[in-house]
Amino acid sequence: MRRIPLIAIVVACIVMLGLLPTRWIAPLTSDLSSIVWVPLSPVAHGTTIIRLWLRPGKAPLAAADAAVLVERDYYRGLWHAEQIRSQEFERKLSAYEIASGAGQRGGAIRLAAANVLTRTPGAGGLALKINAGSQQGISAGDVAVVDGDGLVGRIAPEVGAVSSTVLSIANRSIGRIDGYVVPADQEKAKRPAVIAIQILPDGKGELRGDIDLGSPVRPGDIVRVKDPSWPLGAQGMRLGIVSEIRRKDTQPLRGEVIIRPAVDPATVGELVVKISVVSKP
Amino acid sequence: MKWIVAIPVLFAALILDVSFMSAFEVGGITPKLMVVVVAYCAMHADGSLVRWFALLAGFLVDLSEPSLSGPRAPLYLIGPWTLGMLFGAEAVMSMRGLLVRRNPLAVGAMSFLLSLTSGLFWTAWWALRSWYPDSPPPWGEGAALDELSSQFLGAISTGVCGIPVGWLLLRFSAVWGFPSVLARSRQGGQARIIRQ
Repeated sequence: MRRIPLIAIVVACIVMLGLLPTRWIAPLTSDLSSIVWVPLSPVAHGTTIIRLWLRPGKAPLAAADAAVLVERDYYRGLWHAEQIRSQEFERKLSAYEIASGAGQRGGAIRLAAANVLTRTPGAGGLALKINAGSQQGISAGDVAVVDGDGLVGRIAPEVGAVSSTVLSIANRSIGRIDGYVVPADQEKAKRPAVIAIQILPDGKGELRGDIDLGSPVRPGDIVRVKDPSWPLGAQGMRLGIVSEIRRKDTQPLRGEVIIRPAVDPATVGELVVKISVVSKP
Repeated sequence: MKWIVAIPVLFAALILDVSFMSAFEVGGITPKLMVVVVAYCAMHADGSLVRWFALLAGFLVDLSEPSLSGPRAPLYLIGPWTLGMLFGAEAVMSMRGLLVRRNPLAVGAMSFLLSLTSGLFWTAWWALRSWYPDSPPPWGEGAALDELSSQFLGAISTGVCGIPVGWLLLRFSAVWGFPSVLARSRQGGQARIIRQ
């Protein structure tokens, strides 16, 4: 009997593996990838630093200026988050719905700094692998930010012990995000007239949403998160900037807002994960 | 071919691909060093070794590039690049007799060919898998033809990158322990290293 070559058996196994349903292979290959990348991650981190040094995203600032800007953005993010919370409380008070557990709603947030190891090659760069995982307390759904309030994305399912994947907000699997537009001239106002908007990633690196053409939204306005399905740490974070408003052919009174994400994943080398700490009763 | 040389080079290429090569990104198209290394080996090494090497390279790429469009993102699917690299390596081996192997331009041309054929296989595989309800292709709702065009541009980018990288690899070709062409022909296609 003729012996079957080993390579033919291996190829047949790979063909079968490649055709298995997603729910069977996703956990297995995700773990396998984490194992393969554990020894490679430190080197990849080094080469990422070199890449960012060779091709930085934006012009480097002086150290003092950069520190001031980081601080400003951080407190601006906190301010927007607190503003949303206070508006929520006001609404509840006005409706005589002072819930007994209102004080517990917020929960606590812990920050974890992480370095970007790799990003998905190809157009969009829609996922970043970071060197922090469940050992640091990170869990699926936590948000990653840079510059204090610039939202990068959310932690994907299948969090590894020492690594995890951040899905960019421009990734289609993120789904719809509720947010609000702050007109550029009211960014520093105490009570800015915000416009609610629901946006959806288009999978090509931008976010899109519908809006009434009569609304005061203009290119340059900032869009922030206000979505109950997102963790507390994401509320008020910067999603992006309105880059264009187009009239919809099918609905002439409605417009389509095109939003450029606040953070380009390709230029992110370090980020901060906002870990939601669930308080136990 | 000496595995002790090939494996570290392969891993170095993988690390550079995922963390450094986007420094050379133009319009969302990034060259792939892994493809250049596999093409270079496919031009010089024994057929059976090249097949194993291509499978290993594709396997590592599959474990490094998740598909992000499904509900269970990220999905690392083993198969599209693994078999694509094997398919591409076979294409290069079928043409290597026509090449001037010591020329970096030949490495660039074969990198283009391998990138194109493996990209074609990758697209076809994902198009096949997209029939599954929970496995949308990585290009989302766009057409597979658009993905093919971006694979073509990626192949050009890899081919261009293959010229300087090929020059570098050829400078150190002695350490790889490739069999000579003369030995291969004497053995009736089965290669043997002639020590000088």
